[in-house]
Amino acid sequence: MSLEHEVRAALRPKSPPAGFAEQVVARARWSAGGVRAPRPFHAWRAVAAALTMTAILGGWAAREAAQQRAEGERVRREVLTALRITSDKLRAAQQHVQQIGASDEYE
Amino acid sequence: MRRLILLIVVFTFAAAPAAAQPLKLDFPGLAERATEVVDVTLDAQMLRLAAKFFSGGAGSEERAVRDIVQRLEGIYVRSYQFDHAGAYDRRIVENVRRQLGPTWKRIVNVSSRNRENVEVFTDVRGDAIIGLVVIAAEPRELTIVNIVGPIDIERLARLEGQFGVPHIRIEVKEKR
Amino acid sequence: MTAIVTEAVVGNADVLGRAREGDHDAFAEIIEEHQAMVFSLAYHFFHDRSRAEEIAQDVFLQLYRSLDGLQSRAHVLHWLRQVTGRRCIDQVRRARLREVPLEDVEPLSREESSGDPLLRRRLRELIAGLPPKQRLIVTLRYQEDLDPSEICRIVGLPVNTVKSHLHRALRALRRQLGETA
Repeated sequence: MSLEHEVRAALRPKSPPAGFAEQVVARARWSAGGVRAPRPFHAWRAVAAALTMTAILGGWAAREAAQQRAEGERVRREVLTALRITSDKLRAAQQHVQQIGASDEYE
Repeated sequence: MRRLILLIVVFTFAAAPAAAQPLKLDFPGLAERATEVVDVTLDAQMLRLAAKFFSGGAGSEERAVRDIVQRLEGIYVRSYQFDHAGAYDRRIVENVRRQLGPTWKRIVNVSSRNRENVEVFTDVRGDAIIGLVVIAAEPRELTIVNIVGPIDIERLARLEGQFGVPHIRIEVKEKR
Repeated sequence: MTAIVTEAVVGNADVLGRAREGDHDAFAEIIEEHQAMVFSLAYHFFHDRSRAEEIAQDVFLQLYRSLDGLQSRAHVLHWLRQVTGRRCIDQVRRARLREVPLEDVEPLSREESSGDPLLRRRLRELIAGLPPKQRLIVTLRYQEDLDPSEICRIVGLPVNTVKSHLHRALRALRRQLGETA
């Protein structure tokens, strides 16, 4: 197979992460001043609604968030443990192979 | 006609799975005999949760881990240490190997008589690696790692040296 | 058939027009049409997804500010290729980014040549190690499938210079692959 064919295959277009277009549009809106501040007339209503919601849901949400954070941190540590063990074993394999390679060179 | 369409759909999905199937890594009684046990079982849902706890700053190491983790379908690690040699049945290793179908390829096999034996297998479909299994067996330790899901070598390579993840050299020679 | 084609062309022109008038949905359509191309040009240039994402975002924001000057779909495509290429080259010049030295690139054994993902990875690494102009020209040639005559209009070099860069780049890639095979 030709080199040009392989280069073309290697340079096949890739997609950006999901939500890329939305992020750009959000930045564009922001840069264009498209995000409007709430008008003063509505501001007090928003504040009142927020306070009421906070009073009702605040305690529950905080407890939920704390639980989820603790669970997330635990899972995060497990991921790191798993990656560390995987890396140790791959490193061991690599060292073995390098030793074999080194001894082959002198044979 | 409807049956034909159904068959095509079933065949299409069967022919191009997005991830390898997780292996069965249940070894009854083994943990009781071990002095140290690491048992990590993280399915897709857990991994999505974990991904949220890796910060996403552009170019950061944490982001690189997050990018890898959030695409995976599972990470399963079983690691046992024993206080004397020969505490586990070598058939366990054979049992794990037997679960690997024809799409799996052994890319590394290092074996030495008195030291650690390491085998690395990958499940490659088309352009993509969708599964990784590492079996490391030594007299007093047995470790089996099973990573399920699309494994992007380039992203893995970017983890090199970070969080203790080493350079993963794919060009290792096989020793049969 | 003619009617369908005409309708499609008018539809696309309309998207550009709507985007110019501040319709963010239309702008999102333009991004979605070109995002893989822009992202991939930057990705293949730097071999770094995070950097490619940053550059692609900046390019599209610049596009957003430049919509008034763009007249057609083809113009947008040309503009995006040109600006992305320039940004990549400028980043290398300004930030003196660490180039991937070829000797650092992991060697690939002969057996792996049959394994496509590995060979492609190796090629991407080698391409990322080429001098910036060669890198950009190779990417435009093989990712975008452009002729040297089209590439020269994007990179602003004479067509013979483009051909020469392309030739040298392929020779370097062939040599590097040959050395490790």
